[in-house]
Amino acid sequence: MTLDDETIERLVAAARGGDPEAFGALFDHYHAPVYRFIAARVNRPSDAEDLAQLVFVKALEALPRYESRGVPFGGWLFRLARNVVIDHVRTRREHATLDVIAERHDEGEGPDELATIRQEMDSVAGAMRRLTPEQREAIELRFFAGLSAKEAAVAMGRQAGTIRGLQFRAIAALRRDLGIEPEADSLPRVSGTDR
Amino acid sequence: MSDMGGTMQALEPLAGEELERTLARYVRVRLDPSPAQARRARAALMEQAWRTRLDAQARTRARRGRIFAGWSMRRIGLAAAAAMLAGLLIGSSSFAASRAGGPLYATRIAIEDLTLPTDPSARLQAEIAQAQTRLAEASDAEARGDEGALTAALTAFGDTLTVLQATTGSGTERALQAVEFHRAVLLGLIADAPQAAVNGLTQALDSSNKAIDRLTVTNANNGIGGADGNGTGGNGTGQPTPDPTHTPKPDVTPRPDVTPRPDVTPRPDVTPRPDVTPKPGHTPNPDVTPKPAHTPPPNPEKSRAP
Repeated sequence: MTLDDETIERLVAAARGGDPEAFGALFDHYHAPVYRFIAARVNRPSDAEDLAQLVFVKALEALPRYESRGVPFGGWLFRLARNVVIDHVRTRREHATLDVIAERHDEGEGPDELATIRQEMDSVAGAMRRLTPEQREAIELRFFAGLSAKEAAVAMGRQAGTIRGLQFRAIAALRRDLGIEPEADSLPRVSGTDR
Repeated sequence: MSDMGGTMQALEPLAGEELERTLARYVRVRLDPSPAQARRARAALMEQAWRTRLDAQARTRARRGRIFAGWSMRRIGLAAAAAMLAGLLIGSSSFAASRAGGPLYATRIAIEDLTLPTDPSARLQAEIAQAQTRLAEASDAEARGDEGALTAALTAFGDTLTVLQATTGSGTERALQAVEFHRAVLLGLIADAPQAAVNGLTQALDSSNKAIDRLTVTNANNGIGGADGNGTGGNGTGQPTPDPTHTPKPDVTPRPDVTPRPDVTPRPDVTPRPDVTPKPGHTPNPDVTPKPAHTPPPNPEKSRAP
């Protein structure tokens, strides 16, 4: 579900006023990104589901205290998500060896294709694990959750420029690790509007 | 929030096409939630949101009660207040008459029906809003102890359910979600209802169960049938369209034929996941009256809000 910033602001205002349907619309917009961000950071899909739900329960409770003041709602929500994950990891003492992998595949994929995809996915997971924690988080927020640099900066409590630096180094490391050649258009560029 | 693989911004370090494609595939295969997960989470959240709203309404009513109780102590200006009140009453008499149980209630509902939009998506949204309004009226009537108003509101709610359960095509999923959390609200109401109101609420619950069953079947048929010509690829609400290969509604708890009463049939707060080992925090306690809206956070006091 794609919503523009103005619509999100309107929905947030309505949800703060106690409109359940407005909160439902915000949930529809943000659930998948929040879930992806959490699923990338916890080992069990069931935990990801519970934690994603917990994030929205907390958001519902905290919404009356949310004030925009230049803080994008997405950044605020992902900061909640980040704290929920940190608390979860701290209390559960998760280990990477406990990985329970849930995969979703297209129907027409045969055993050979599945094996290839699994190998590729394992390579990506390995390359992600070898990033520094901050680089990994920048990739999770920017590419998995689809946040803007500004939103990711709010979520991580850093400057947007710092996020871009982390992202730049993470991309270089991922390319090296996955054996992907740099492309001509992959250098930093000055264009568009910053978000 | 930008979309996956969307345009990058100023001084943006780009991943490049191949890496972006690889990461997008990783997201799709390993990180995306299933439609069932999204549906479960949404239903639980909406229950919570409705409970929050109803609690807020109850608090407002209680506060209002206290304000009026204080008036009896204020003798000064009583005559002026009474005059103003009389004026207000005359002005609002037509509104009061159109409240649930009032003589103009049926007229108001008829006008609402006549002014429903013709666009199918907007119409469904309006019908869901109507059902919610009827529920809010029922809740209000119960809080006031007004049996007549409660009966009228629940009868009107039953009529909206009849309309909603006939939803087909791309709106079915949305209608199903709405009726599912309306049912949760009814369960919340019945838990606190006086004995005289239980019958009406039980009937409304029964109607909700039937509507859910019917919409579940319709929804499953939509999934099996694939594109229905009405644009099942998008349901107009932004909700992901269920995967046609996905078994329809595996997470719906089978309901008994008899309408479940909260003190008899414990319903878990979160629909149990067949594919997941249940955790102690989510196991419903059969000794406790099941109040549906509570989704117990695994560790609420340790998490920090920003």
